[in-house]
Amino acid sequence: MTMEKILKKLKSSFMVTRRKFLASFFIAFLSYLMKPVNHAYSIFEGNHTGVSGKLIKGDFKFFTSYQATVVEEVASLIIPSDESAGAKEAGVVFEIDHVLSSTDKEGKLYATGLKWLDYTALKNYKKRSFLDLSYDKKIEILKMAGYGKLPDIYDKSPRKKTTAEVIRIFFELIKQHSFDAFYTSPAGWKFTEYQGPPQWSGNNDYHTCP
Amino acid sequence: MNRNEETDICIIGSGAGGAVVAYALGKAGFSVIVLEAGPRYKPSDYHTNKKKWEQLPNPFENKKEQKQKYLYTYGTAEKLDTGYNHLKSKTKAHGLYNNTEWRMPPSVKRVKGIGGSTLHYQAEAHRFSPHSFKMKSLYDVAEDWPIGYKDLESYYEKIENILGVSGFHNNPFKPLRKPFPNPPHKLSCASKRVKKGFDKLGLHLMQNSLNILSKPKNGRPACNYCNGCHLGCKMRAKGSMDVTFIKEAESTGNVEIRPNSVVREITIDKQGRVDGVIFFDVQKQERRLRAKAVVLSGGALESTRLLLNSKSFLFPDGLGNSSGMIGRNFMETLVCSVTALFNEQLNSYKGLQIDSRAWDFNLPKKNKSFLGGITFGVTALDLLGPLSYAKLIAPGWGADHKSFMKKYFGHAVNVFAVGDQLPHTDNTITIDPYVIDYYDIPVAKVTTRLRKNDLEILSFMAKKCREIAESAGAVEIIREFSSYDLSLITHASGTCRMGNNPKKSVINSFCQSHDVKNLFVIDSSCFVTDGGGDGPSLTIHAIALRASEYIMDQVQKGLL
Repeated sequence: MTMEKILKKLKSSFMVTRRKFLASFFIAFLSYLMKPVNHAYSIFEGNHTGVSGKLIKGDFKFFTSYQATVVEEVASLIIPSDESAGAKEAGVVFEIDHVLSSTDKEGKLYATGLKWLDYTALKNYKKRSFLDLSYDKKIEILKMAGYGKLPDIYDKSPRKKTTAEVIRIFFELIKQHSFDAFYTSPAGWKFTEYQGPPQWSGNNDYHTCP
Repeated sequence: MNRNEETDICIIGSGAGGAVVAYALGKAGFSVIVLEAGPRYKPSDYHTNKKKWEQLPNPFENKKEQKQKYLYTYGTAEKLDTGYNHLKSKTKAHGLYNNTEWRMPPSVKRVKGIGGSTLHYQAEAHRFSPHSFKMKSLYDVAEDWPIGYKDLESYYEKIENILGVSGFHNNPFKPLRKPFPNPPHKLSCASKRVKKGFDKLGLHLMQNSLNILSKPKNGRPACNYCNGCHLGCKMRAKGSMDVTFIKEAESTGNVEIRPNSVVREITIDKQGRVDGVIFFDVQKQERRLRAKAVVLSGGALESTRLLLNSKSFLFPDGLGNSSGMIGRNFMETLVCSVTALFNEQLNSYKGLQIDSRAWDFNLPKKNKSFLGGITFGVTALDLLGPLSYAKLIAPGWGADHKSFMKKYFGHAVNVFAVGDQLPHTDNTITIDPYVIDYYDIPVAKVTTRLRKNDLEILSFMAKKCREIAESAGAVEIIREFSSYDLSLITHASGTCRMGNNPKKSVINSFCQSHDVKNLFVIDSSCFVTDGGGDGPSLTIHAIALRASEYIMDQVQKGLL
């Protein structure tokens, strides 16, 4: 290898693409943001025996039974069950567990987000778990998360803004994951009257209006 | 360089241009080697039959490659002209796509793989209109092509017959023509519904001419209307180059297709004639291929990059660039679409990607505030299943979200328009000296800016699309998109312009370099103007077939 080539090689290995740059920046940013948040909740590694209802059982690779139950609850608030199936019936939580077990980046965000739900339930509504809240209170918490607006208990916290941002990203992620899992499953197809993947059956009736 | 090989013709790229040249020259008995930078895709591997098809990445976006290297860079960002802020892309559910005051950097959609961008295209097979070749003499803008519609007509017809194009031949906005080899596809339910809007405004929405079979041909079945054309046609009903011209070319026995072969440089001999190429093979080994003539068909971006990177003592500014015109007059196409919601179930996700078009504005009108052709159309585009509805247009989450999905799935249709961007010498593709790719080759840099005329065209298109959707009885317009603030370049063209004057153009009307007689550039980069909203592929095929006949003729006469 000539000197010139070696130099070129070096240059290309140090070269950071825009995508790489943004991605690494984003992850660094998130972990920076999460640090104080995680610290705040480290005192709150709750013992969840005796929370209302039963914990779901399953062979989870990422979640604990309790986490899985909370995720399922959140997913079924995002895609509720009515006369047609919702996230619960579609088994969305199992799909999310599968997704998270194959990446390590998003898992931390989930862990933090789930702790935050319980923390808020305790501090704001005096309940030991998110699961113990009434339907309206649960929706209220998720709306706060979605808008990035934290309850009054945070008013004195210097970390209010960063925490709100982390929680907003967590909620956005769990929403996307729930959609991904639900709308690629027969339950999601059935209620929209979608027939399933385009091939091999195709749509030879495409020119007739129903 | 461990091995010297030799062939008659070396073709770089196997897309709309290269595939046709390989077919024509292979059939004529030349030995041809096609070097294709991307892999060979198997139609059976496309994922439109998988449960998670909506979530899986587009097979033609090579994620691994994108991680490894730059594909191209872009010049300084363009500040948006705030007078046209109503053109900003937005959705009702998620707000603005681009919150900044700057135009999003250009993203050029192209595919590496045997078949090139036709693997991913929506298979529109349009002949350019006669006036599209004569913009200078008719409207005093841009430049005239050195060829006209009459020069290409017989080639258009030959290509249509080989591909088996399906279409409606009584189009009042196009020259008289024979019927297409295959009957047109029926209008989809959604197109029929939106046609009411076109009718009310006195516009003519009609069946599109498509390189998609409406009847079986050569072992390929007819289309089953799955609407996944851009995800790769599993059925092989879409005539992408890999299942048509490349297949025919390989069956002649004279053509060898080499996937994953990236050309670094075209080399010249002492007489200033091209003598071959240096390329990287699958193992990233540098190899040499000698050829009597080289045909460059990498698309406007890559062809330009390769020519500019092939510097020599004779051509210090890039191969065949004595005019300094290589890389100039880059044209993106101007696009705009509105997503309209209807009360009736239209099953808009079923059918063909673009089954209908209206050519009313294809002929530029002189009294308008702009000059340039436009065509309108109807498409489901990306709204093809529940997941895309949920992510792109459905509001929020919870009960509201679910009731929207239940009520409106299959009810959303896009009315879109594609318009001319007139060529401008300052819209360029150059080489970025600071950035190299995975093969250590400097990458291309795209610099493009919207002019007053472009903004006026976008404005007109956006207004008209809205009008059409509203008069068709849309309940609501829930998404608007335009290339004003997002720059998605699907039809890149114009960087090695053809012309009779060697000082103002790069190649002659047969795509032969003015400077180097055995170098041909046969792809969309030869375009002088971009056709007023018509798809470029059929014109590239026709030009390629015409150029191939010229090459045969020149070889016979001993001139090449």
